[in-house]
Amino acid sequence: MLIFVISAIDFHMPPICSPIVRPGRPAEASPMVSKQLSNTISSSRMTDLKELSLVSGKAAWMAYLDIYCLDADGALFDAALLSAIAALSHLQIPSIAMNDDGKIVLVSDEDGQKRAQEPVNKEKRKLTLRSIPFSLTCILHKNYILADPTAEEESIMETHVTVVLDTSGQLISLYKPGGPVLAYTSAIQDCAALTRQRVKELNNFLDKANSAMEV
Amino acid sequence: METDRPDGRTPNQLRPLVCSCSILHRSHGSASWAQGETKVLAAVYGPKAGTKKSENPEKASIEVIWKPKTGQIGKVEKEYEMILKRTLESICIRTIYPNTTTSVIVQVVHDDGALLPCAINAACAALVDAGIPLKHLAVAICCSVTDSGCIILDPTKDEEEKMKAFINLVFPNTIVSVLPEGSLQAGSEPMAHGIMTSITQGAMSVDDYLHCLERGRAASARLSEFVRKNIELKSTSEASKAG
Repeated sequence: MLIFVISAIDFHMPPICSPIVRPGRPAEASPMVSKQLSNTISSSRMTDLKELSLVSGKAAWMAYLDIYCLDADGALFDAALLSAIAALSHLQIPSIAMNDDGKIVLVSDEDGQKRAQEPVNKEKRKLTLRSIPFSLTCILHKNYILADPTAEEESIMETHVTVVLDTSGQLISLYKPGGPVLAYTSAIQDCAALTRQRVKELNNFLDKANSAMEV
Repeated sequence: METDRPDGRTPNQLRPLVCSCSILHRSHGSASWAQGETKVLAAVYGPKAGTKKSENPEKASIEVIWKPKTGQIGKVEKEYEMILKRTLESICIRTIYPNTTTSVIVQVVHDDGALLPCAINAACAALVDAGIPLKHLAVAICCSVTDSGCIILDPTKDEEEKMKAFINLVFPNTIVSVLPEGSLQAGSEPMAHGIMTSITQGAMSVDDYLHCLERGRAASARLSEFVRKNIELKSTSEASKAG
């Protein structure tokens, strides 16, 4: 089940989002962000995969997560991860029943006849999210740390560090793929402190957005 | 309190390292790097004239092709290619040969854990063998964290599956210099302590990450000594053949 969830995460960059993306073959950054997203979501154990199981050994939910970038202006992974978390927190799993043939059937609330079948999930419900990961991308340049860079800043300076922390303070990912500037311990600690601050802000923002959507 | 590892190693012990250079004839530089059962073959061609359309022709560009042992190239291999490309770009002096492309082909011979650090080490040895101008070498190491918080270096495939988290770290090679000690410092820390590349998998606390950094730095010093010996031995033997 874990394999299905991981392989179903895709990050698409259509040519509309950036002048450097050409139609046809996928953009260079696209598989990088997809793999990073899969790694982050599986590492954080944000969702309990047993929740997605319907009948042991027979049927389970498969979640497809497709993220489309409309405007690429830097820090793509941060935006992709935040949108993935918002989408998963908004996900609703419909109620399911198994009929006499052993097949899975959607249960409609209005259909009284189908209610006679044994329900597997009794009501429409949301996914339970445990500790939620949030990320912050920084650029290192000499002694400076530049948080949340734009596309122009990213193209000029080549050393990116992405720190992902979850709401319980665990380090989910620290991603620095090369770059001419070396990251020392003080820079790592500063990036982690900036990310902790951002985790609080984004968590509040997500809570407000979700509670506003409930009404 | 030391955990028993299945192959009898202590937590800080690396698997035996084997490095061979100049094993392919057509390539300008080649190297085979093995850490235990994990083995990677790297070949370097170039600098060749011309640059890809998406690259900057004012600098030398580096192209990395990653070939897995079996199957097609997927997202995992694409990510490895990108990490390797950016790591090698940061150690090469790219202003010397503008409008050229250097190809680095990495062939995985066997994967028994810690594959990406092995490939980075092999690629660096191949670049040296090809005579590509470098600022310094890069040494790569994999640290892993168990559920009980113990830190283990250079995990095997079986150990990787049981670990809570692991980190691939790349540091610059330690520098042996006749200059005064202060010139190798970058602020308050020596240059070899800076992180070039860091790729993590799994969740851990920030303190665990910093502990892994310390272990990784100590192990990279040993790796640096190993790399230096291998390269010096090769050049010495070639000089004796010429004489």
